[in-house]
Amino acid sequence: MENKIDIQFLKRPLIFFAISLVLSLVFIVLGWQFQNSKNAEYIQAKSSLSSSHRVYKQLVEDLDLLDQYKKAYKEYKKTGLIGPERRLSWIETLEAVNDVLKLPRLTYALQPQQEFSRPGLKVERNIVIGSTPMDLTIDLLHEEDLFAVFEGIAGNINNLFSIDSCRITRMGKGDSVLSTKSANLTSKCLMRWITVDVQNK
Amino acid sequence: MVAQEWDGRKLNSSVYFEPDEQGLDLFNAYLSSLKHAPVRLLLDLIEEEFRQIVIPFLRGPDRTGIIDRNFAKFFRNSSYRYALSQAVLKKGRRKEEKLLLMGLTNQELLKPWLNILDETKTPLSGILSLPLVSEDLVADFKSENNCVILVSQQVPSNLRQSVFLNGKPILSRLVPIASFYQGNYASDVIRDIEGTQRYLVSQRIIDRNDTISVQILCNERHLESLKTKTDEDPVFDYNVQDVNDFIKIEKLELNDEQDFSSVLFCHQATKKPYANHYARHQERKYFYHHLVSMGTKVTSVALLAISVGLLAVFIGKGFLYESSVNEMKQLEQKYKLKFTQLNELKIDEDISTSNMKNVVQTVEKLKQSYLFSPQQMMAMVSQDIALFNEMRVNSLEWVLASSANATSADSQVEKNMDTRSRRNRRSNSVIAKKLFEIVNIKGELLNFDGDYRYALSLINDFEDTMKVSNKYDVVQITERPLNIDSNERLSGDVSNKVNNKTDNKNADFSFRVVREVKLSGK
Repeated sequence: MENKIDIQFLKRPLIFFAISLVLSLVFIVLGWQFQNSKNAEYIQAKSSLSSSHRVYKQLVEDLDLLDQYKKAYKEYKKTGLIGPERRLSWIETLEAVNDVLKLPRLTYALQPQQEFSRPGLKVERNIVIGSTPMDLTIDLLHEEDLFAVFEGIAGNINNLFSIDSCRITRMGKGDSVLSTKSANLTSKCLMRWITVDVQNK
Repeated sequence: MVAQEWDGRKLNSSVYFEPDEQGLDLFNAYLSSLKHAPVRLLLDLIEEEFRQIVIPFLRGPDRTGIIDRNFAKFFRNSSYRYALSQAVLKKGRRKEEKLLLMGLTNQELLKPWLNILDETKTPLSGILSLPLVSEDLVADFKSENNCVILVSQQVPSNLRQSVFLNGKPILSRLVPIASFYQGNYASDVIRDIEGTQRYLVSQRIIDRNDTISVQILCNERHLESLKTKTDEDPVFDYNVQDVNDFIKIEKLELNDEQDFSSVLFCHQATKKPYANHYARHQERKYFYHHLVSMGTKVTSVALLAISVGLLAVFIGKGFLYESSVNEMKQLEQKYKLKFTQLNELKIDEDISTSNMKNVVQTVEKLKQSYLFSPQQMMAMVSQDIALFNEMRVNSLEWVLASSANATSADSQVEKNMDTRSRRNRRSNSVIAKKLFEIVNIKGELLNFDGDYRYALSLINDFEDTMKVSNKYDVVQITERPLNIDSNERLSGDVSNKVNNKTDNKNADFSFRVVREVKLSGK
């Protein structure tokens, strides 16, 4: 009796093992590929859903914002605060103010539009703040008339303006008594009409 | 040679082979038909001897050496031998081991059968000794005596007597008996049992007065005569059982009534995996092959099962993913539908909502912090000047600038200015962090009579009052009625004073106040 391994005896189980091994690998690889392909579809669908959800959420937030800001925006746009400058309206406003105050002199000089900047003023990249300088020369009976002009402008037009400088000079010399019929003071002011515009990019 | 095929308690087949050439050929054919099913060989031979020995309690090669020496002593010419450890004895500090040595004295008997097993590549799991296998049967008899003799007959010509002491086999004898079919069988059996008793007493295995329990398995034909004979004997504790009754008790399924008890022992040998007693390594070669084959098959099946399981898991997961994908697609459709519905609510299409928000916020910010008027500053300065009746303001200039030293308002970049200039100008305004209201005032003292000392004192009082008020960051007198600074030139006309004329005397002054603007809406 020899004690060697009888391959013939083990042939069938070994073949069975080899076939099982191959089949197992095939099953596992095919199953794994199937799962992976479905997983890829799942990830893509998840991403797509997430994207849709984000867009939807953004829209809902936009609608909330829309409700919140729509009224103010429409009002600003209507009055010309938002959009291109409205020089004619400004001049008409000045005329209206002086119709009431009846100042001896109220002249204006509008300069080309400039950008508006102030220390610490930061705005979004696509928001453009423009300012149109207007030199005002006003003869005044009393210094309070100057502020009455500014208040009149503010009351007549819903636009933004800011005063950069103002010089009030007494007319005549040595008279301590003020005239009630002619100008006693003259003023030169630099005011800026501010417009806000948005670049839709 | 009897070949039995068992399926649990059921005997499927029992085939008898004569120990001649024809019988061997038939045995070969029978094994070939089994297709490498594993078998066990149960020996019931006369040429099997048992020796009980006591050796020092050892382990490892020392023990093996002692056992080998005893094998050489008792079974010199046999390679079929087995040592069964039965007990560890304690004698004071010394420990000893009781062993049952057994071996075949004529191993040539097995050779033709084993050759056929090898030729047919039949896996032989082991060669078992019948007396050792019958140890479990003895426990079933539940005898009250320490010594039990199991008497059985597997073939017509021989009677097997196996002796058990405290449940352990110590001896087994197979004696020829000729009276199975003719003669006084019962007397012959009793005589042989008495012979065994005498041997046990002579070997001092038991005491002469010890009662021996004798369990006899016989067929129905000899039952009555044996019972009659054993009832007459007062020395032994006999228990005679019909082998077929015992087979029923053991719940074995057999087709025919049995004359002999071989089926009992053969079934006993299949009941549990007994340790191999006699088979050598080379004789178990195909059993090892069989184990490898089984292992390979089990591994293959396990592999297939695992892979199929994994495949099922993968497919299950895949379908779960697919189901989730479908649900997500439906949800996405709902989102898109809602999106379309809500999107129609957006009325201003010329501007995005975020831009709208930014524009409105910018306007609010401008309104809150970046629109200026000189009114407040001018009123404040006017109130301070009003405290001094002799002072008259001829000119007042208010300037808004990012520098406290500025003389004019900050210039702004024109929209159509070239990029480089715009960048420079813009960077300046970005660098500037503060904003100041600057007021320059020019005036004169009323009713001035040429008393400069008084005039200067008045201006100093005015300066102090403004500084003490803490309303301004800078209060600076830029022109006094008379410049008496050591570093300046000073000229004048004092003739008027001698002539007592004061008409042309002037006491002009100018000053500058600065206040930082609080920018709250950054």
